Amino acid sequence: MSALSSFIENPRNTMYDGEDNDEKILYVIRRSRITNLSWILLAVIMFFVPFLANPFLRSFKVAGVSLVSIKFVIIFTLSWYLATIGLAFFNFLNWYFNVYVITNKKIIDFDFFGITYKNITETTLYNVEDVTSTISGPFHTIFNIGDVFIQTAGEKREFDFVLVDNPGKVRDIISDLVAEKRDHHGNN
Amino acid sequence: MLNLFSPQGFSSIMQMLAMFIQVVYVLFSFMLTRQVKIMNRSFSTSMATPFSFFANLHFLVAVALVIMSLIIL
Repeated sequence: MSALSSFIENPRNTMYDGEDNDEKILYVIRRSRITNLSWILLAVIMFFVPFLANPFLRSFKVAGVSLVSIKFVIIFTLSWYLATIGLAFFNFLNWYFNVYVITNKKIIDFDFFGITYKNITETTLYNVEDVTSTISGPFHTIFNIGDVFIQTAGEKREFDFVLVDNPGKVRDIISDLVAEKRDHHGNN
Repeated sequence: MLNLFSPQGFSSIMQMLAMFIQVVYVLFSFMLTRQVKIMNRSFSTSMATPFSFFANLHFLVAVALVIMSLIIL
């Protein structure tokens, strides 16, 4: 599904809070899908835990009577699977909504940490000074994953596109958009 | 007086611990519904409705499990 892609060009049915009327979202970029492997693997492991844990819990006996009732085991199993689904959903949302949005006017970085923190940073394309892409490490090199750093007019580097697919292409897209914006400003 | 070192006592401790964890999880699932709402409002996509539905369903199931635990355990 393109909606779950880590690089979406001209996304449909997509808007952000604060979007101008004459603004058009050109790209939606997320961390590479490969970065989700860790929590997916954890969820798979968690799925199989009750198959091992339940017989183990039932094995605790005193005078032939199990310390852990079958009712407790049922509740434990249901709760465990709910927590597994909840954890997977939480991690998926963090991946899905931590996006970098490039419009015809701005670059916006949406950061959601945990369930209580939200940070949104935006800058106009005209403010972009330098764009750098970096790929480091054998794993990232094999899968073409890296970071894109955007220096805006100011001392502090404000935008880090972390672990995105094809960072060279992202860098190129931003550079071209910035050049086009500056040309447009120069002509006006 | 319940002997906490007896099988019944151990079982009671486990049940109380399980209930406590479940209640904490209900709070987490409620916070998750709020977070999904904020996320959808900040960045709206075609997946907004399924996300909201799933988050609310997840919360309701968490509450149902607590009620079920109170009844069964």
